[in-house]
Amino acid sequence: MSAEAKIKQLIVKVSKGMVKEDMITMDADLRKDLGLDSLTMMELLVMIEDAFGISVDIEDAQAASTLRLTLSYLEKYLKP
Amino acid sequence: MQAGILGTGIYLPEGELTNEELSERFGVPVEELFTLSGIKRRRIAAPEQACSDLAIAASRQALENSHTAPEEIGMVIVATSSGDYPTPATAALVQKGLGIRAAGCFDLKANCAGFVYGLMAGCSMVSNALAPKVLLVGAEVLSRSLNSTDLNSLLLFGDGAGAVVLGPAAEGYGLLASEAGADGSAYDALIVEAGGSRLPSTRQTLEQKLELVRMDGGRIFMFAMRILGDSALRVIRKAGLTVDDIDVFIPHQANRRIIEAAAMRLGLPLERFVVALEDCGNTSAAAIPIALHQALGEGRINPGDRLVMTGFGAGVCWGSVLLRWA
Repeated sequence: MSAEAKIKQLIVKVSKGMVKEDMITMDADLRKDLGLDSLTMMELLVMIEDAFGISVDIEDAQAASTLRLTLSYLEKYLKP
Repeated sequence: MQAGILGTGIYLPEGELTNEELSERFGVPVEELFTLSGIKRRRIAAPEQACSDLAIAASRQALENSHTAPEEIGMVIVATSSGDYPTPATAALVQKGLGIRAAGCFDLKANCAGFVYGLMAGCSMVSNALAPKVLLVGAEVLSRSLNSTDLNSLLLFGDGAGAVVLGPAAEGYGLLASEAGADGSAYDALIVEAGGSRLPSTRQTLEQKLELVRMDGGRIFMFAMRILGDSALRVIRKAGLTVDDIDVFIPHQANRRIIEAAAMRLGLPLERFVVALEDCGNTSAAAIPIALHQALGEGRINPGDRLVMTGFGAGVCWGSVLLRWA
């Protein structure tokens, strides 16, 4: 499964199904457009850490307001 | 010798701070406040009440429920970060208030991990015949340390006390396993900066409100979400068990969202967790014994049940215990 597909799956899970996968575009704002509150964003971060086996700096995560930006910081952490 | 919990008691002050009051003060909708925390109201101690008053009231109930006379207690432990005085230990006032003549006493400061650490210490004393029975109380009057302009802390923290009497347990019952850890590099994530030896109180520190709680909510939330599941899993493995062997999880009652997130991470239904903060908020070291007492009252815990209690908080530090209920 690609990183993009995995993160979409996690967004759906963390939103408890309120967000549907087809709502998640690369540039949809996770908070303003998809309605994730600040705590849900942190839950998403922990789920991403678990799923990819990484430990993310909270500042990086807080700046990642879209799927595109999330994939961008993830690439940094997954670089060998 | 095994050691376990013989009886419980709680005390919640009658004063309260509701979401309606916070909404009016800060202009945040009531529904949003509840969604963020899972709390509807926090209890606030009366002006004439201090930590020991709450602790004594909870302790009386625990002594009664465990059919324990004061003279049977060999040690009084008060887990608190909001004691009556900087010195002496609040436990001394509890000892005096209950007329427990033969016991030693000390305070245990590990903030929201205090009760779990107190269980480890108290059960060890009983198991090693250092005390026939131990009175352990988690008690807090946090409302007096909160910044009136900080919604994040006013939303969460409340006052209360929960007490247990610890004593001998049958083989295979009581405290079966424990685990603990800390990461002092995050000491400033939740801190009261002034009033100690690092930064004694001055007019300047009072003006800057450094004697009040300052919390980096994001860091603490992230830490809590990670550690609740991780610590619980470690103690379960240490006992040679699996998650499916645990009947009831009683986590520190920091925020309902943290407990929900941990349940999701562990792949468990929320119903396996005791969530008891709606009516009293986050009472730090008192939270777990209050949740335990309420779960017992609701008939959620039966003889033979395996419980995991996990505390985590300022330090940051954490700990979990696995008990089998007698």
